[in-house]
Amino acid sequence: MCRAWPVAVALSLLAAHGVAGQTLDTAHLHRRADSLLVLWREANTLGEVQQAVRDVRRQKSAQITRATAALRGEHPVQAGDLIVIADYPDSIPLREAVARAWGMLSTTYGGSATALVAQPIRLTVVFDERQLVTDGRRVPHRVTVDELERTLLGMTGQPRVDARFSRWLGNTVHPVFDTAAERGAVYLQLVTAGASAATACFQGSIAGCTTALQLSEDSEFYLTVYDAAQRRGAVASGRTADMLGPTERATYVRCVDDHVDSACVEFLRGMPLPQIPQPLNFQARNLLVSTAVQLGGAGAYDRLMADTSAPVIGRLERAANQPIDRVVTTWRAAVIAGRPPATAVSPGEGLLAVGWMGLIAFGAIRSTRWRLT
Amino acid sequence: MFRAILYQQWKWTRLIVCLGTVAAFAIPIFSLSSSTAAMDHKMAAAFLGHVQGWGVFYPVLAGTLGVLVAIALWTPDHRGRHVYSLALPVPRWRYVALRYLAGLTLLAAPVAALAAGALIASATASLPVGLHPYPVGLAIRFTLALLVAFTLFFAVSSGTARTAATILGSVAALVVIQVLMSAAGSQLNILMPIANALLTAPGPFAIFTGRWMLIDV
Repeated sequence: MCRAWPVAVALSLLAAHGVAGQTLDTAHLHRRADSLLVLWREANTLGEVQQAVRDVRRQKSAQITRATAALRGEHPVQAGDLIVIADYPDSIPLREAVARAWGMLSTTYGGSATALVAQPIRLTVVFDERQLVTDGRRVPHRVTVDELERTLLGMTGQPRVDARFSRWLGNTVHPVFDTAAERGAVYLQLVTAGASAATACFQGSIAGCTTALQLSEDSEFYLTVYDAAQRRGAVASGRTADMLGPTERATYVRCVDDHVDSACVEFLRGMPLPQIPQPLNFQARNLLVSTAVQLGGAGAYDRLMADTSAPVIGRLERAANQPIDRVVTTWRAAVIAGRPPATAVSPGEGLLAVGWMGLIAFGAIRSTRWRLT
Repeated sequence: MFRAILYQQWKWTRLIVCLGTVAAFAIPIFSLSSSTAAMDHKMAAAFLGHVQGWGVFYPVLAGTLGVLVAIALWTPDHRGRHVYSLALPVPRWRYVALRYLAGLTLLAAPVAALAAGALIASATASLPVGLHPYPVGLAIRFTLALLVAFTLFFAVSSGTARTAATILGSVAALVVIQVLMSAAGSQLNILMPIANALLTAPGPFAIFTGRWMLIDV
């Protein structure tokens, strides 16, 4: 007992010193955090200034290009804010393509489209493949309106999106060109996705569509999107046993060969997120964004990009001015209506074939070769 | 008279018709050989690719069968210098019409075989939600393609050897001209517009370029 009290006193002193040190550390950390905040604010201001300078420079450059074109006597074709200068504008369907491209840009990106087309686009019409082009993008003189529209949209590019939205979407927001083809492709994805959520979506479940589109941004989406057998398939298609280390290989074998679902989940948890097979790709998600923007009308894209820290669901709802279920329902209805044409012969096709047969057979039977009698 | 002509044509073309009938029955059956009882959606993608691969054989069979039967029907006449047909107491146009109808009758066998094969294969396949069989659509497309090929080559074969030579020579001349133009550095493509005109609506071979899938979405 006599020997114990000095030890207790020593321990108490040590504990008191520790608490005092902790208080000091916390205050120190607070100060450091405050100084970091100041630094971050300064960096942010500098970034905004840099962006503003860049915009001014771009606008000035655009003004110079337009003035030069006017001086040279070139006649730019303009639709909205999109200006295109071509050396032989009448030899290609430029006016229609420019109007269509601007329509597509303004519908998709709203007010953000103007920034994309600040710089006029310069085209050089090529009449011979071997013709040298030094200024502007070469365009063959036999280009169609569709091809020219795609060229113009490819040259304008897409506005940047924040990291969170880009992580979900898998890219920037793209204009939907051929709506029927895009819907048909997404329809095929729903049928062949190999994910229970996508199958449920195809059969009419809006919750299934929400899950298949991964709108919740869940990093463990494979728990809800796939069933056990599909998770096994995801592991098998995502990796091959030969390229794994001993520990990973054991988990892989338990998952793929022994059909142990917990091993599959464990394996998928260890895989980088982009490498895990996803049920619906960028095309399906981009179509959903396009649906939300169309539902939302004017200013939809700006609303979509307004709050970069908000969840994807909230941003889509704000863009569309509709609850997410309504957006997904509209998307699903459009996809189901976009079912690709099947093998069946249309009446027009059938009549055409029969018509050709009749014509050729009549020609053969009434040929001059047989008019001997 | 029709029965006599039909019998005669059967003797000339029976090998081609029999082989074509067997192939027409077998292709749909083989095209669905990879379907399993518990096919899930992931397997559906590969399965559709497999069915699409087999889809090439339908228009090839229709074209080949139509051409071979049409040529086989007229070969004996060309060989006998049309003496037999000219000796018959019927107008020539009627004779040709009867031969054409007899040819169509002979082609009913492969058409029926394909329809039967497609129906049997579809009935036995277990398909996941979203995939559907199209045996009737496929059989109709095959029938039309077969008849268009047969009719066209029947018309060509019924003419003189000079007519056939003129047609084939024209096609060969176009190909040669195109090769020479390309070699000379010209960008002009004369074959593509002709091929497009023939293979897309309202061209005569537009029926060949549709979808040939026994199973589709």
